[in-house]
Amino acid sequence: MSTDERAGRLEDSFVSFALGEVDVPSWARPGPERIPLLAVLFAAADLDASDRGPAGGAALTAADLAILLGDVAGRDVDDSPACVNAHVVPTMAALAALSPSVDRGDGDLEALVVGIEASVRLAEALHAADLTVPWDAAATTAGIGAALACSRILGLDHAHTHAALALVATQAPQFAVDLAPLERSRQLAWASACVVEAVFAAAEGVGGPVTALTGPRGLFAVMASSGGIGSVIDTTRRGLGAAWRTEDHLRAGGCPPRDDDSGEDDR
Amino acid sequence: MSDVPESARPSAALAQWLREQYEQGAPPRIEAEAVRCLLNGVGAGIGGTANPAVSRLMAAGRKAWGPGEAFVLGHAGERLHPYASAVVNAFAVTQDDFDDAHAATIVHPAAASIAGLLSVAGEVDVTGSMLLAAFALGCEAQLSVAGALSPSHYERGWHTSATTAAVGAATTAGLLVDLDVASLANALDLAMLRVVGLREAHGTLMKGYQVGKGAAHGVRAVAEARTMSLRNPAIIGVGDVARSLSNEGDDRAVPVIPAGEQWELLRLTYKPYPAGIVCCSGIEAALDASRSIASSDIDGIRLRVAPLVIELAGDASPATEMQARVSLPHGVAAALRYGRAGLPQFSQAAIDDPDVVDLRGRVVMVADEEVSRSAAILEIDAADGQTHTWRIDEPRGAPDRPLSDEDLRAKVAELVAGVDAAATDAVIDATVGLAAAPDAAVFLGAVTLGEVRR
Repeated sequence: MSTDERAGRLEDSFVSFALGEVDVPSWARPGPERIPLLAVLFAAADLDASDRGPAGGAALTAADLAILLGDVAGRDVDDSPACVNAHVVPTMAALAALSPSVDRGDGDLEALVVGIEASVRLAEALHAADLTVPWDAAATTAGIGAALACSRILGLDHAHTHAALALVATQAPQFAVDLAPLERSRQLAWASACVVEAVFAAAEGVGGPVTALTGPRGLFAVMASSGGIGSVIDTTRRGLGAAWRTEDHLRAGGCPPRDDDSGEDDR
Repeated sequence: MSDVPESARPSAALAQWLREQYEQGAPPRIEAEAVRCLLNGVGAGIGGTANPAVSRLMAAGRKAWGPGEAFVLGHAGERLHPYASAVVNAFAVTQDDFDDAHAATIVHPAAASIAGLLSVAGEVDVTGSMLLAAFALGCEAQLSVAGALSPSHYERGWHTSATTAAVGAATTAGLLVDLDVASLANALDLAMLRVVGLREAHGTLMKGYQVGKGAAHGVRAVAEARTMSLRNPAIIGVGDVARSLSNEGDDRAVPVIPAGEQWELLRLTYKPYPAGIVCCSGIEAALDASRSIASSDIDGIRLRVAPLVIELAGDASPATEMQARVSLPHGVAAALRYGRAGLPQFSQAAIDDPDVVDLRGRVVMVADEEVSRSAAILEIDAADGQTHTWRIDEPRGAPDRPLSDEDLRAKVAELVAGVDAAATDAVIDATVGLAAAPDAAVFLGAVTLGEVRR
């Protein structure tokens, strides 16, 4: 399969996955099987409550809330490998979009699961293709899942979700530099807020190319100076909707090794 | 990431120069060109507010960020949060492809610096001259960083106008809020920490949006600069960052600081037609041709251009106005059909005009390595069997063929009149008179098409 033939398909797969039926896995549901890291985040966000509590009741804008929550969460997982903590930003951004004007009840958890899964898959694929350096993989890939989660929560259709994906893809790349922990969490927080804004823009009808990820001048192309796009697309799509990569990563607590892995954290 | 000492930090050297220039004031020649650049930019931006996407972006910005005090071109009485205003204003200036262009980098710098200016102008007390200097230095800083990355940065697929917009906006806003050298250097590096802008976006609303997001990143960087620093501060121009953005050196792509008055600002083209800069010479050749040959007498059309021009503007079947602006076959066909190349010639009606469709289909693009990317050679086979040739090396508006002040004012007047005909004189007079203005109030009132009370 050529890159051209793949063009658009990953984006289509992501959008269909994000808006399709989701059977929330047991590891994400409240209860003893829930993965501890997720439990911490979900509890902090009070996701299972119909009343959003103090955060939801405060006079914060969606972007303010994304910054606040992204900042807090970013601090907690700063030292985690990139393909594990990639879920932080989508979680927080989705929460922000879920400010009191939107109340989808049980749909919240479904949206978060698909967003996290998309981010983890993308982070895993970029890691395997050795495309994460010098990028901050969490900040770069997590927004993609966040866009999908927010789109589902806001009830966007396929076309508008494609638009949200594009508007987030173009602002996804962030460099991994030597930031103090608190400052890196602020980068993740800002990325969360920008996702929320982009999804609102997409909902208003501002769109972009359907090939923002896989096109010849798309996100993967600019990140990969020496090929590797095909493997990113294949790895990301393989088993999407049928298998949850999130569980493997969160339970394992680290990134899978590359063939030439030096053992260094890829952030 | 390279370990770069503070003394060799490119952003520190650039910030030092920017701050010195701001305190000295722009030299008269630079200030005069800054006025022209700003006038061209606000004209394009006010005209651009007619794009329905502007109101959509304003709605999204309000919903995401809430209220604010930053100004919006063409929207008197309406204020936005600075991050939202940066997106909207830069989008408005650049989306219609009627702004400016720097040929060496394919950057349109006014958009980001206008966005930076309007994001903070309401909260600072500066003279018109200071406002102009901050604007000019924002453009220059953006062009300097873009120059260090060019040409490979754009060739890799990055949209340089967007990826470097944060630098322009951060410079203009940072100087206006009086950041010191250290904080300004921080702002410049933080601005480039997040890279926004894919060429994949061309022909869609995302093209202008990503320039706006770049500008918003710059405004954000200014807000962070006083409190946030990097352990290893160098981002611009060094190490992995440089390598990942360009092929211009092994690990360095250091911005060049202008010597004397050799500013890149002086090398801008103010677009004479609402189209991609690589389309302008071809359009102009077609306009020349239209004066001597009727479109009905045309049998064949060949256009010799640089290979990059075909890659960027070779689409012969544009479906939307945005696509038509970066379609050289459309620009040539419309110019031949109407003898004009203004906004109406890139409208949906023109795109769907059967005569334009017919002419567009007859345009054969020929890649010619001997032709520079700013040039075009138009060959037309006439019905009488003769072949006629028109050659344009640089379009009107280019540095060697600058628009006169009168031409520039006429362009701006037409753009502003498309939104509010009664406001044209106020916009032009306030911008042209900005250097002598005691404050920014009159300018801000004019470009928002209202009266600003401080």
